[in-house]
Amino acid sequence: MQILLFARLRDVCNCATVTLDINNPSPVAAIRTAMQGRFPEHADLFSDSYALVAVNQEMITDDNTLVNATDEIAFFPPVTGG
Amino acid sequence: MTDRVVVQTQDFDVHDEYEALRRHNPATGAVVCFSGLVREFSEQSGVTGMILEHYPGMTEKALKKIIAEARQRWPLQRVTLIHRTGILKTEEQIVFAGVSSAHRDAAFDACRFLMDYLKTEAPFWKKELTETGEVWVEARQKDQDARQKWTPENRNPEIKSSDSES
Repeated sequence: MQILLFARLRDVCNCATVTLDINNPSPVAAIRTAMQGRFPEHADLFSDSYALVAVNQEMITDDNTLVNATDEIAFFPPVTGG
Repeated sequence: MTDRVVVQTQDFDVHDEYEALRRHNPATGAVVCFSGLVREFSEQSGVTGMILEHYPGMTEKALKKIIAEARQRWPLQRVTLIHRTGILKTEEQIVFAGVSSAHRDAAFDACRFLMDYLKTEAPFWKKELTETGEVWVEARQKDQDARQKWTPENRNPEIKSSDSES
């Protein structure tokens, strides 16, 4: 499963795309945990109190949302535009 | 009923945008325009500008969704949202929100709604450029609070004066 990273998350992980070996489908919560396992030094930045998640370019609010490998999944910090 | 959503590196002309909202529509009684500027932030010293990053594809979708939500709440005619990306220096224009409507109340409220939602829902991120390096800007609680004013239980918020940026 491919995960896109933006802004500070991409910078601290030093990569824009992460490939995870994870069940298909999986809840977003499992992907968060897998990302925290991949980047333990930045676990707090992937927690549900910080990182926002978009599935197919729509922000999700429920970590139980199921995603497939064919979905476009992105993790990013709270937004700061405007 | 025209929506104009633009994400671009180039600057925009507020007068042109105003004219596009106003012209050739005798039913329009009010146009409200907002423009946000890059200002010197207080958290860092020596800020010379910023880099605006976004999520291509999602950004445009998110802005269109915000306009659609505004249209469900107010009888709007034309709506324009422009957001710049890339490197911007202090004093430059960064964002534009403009609304036309038959009456001013809808135009005022919808313009504020668009900005409050944009600041919490649209995937843009600011990174400040300072004399000593680059620093990501963190989200502010007061932007979340401004967004919360528009939730159904706070449908007709009392607009308080605030000093929030853009």
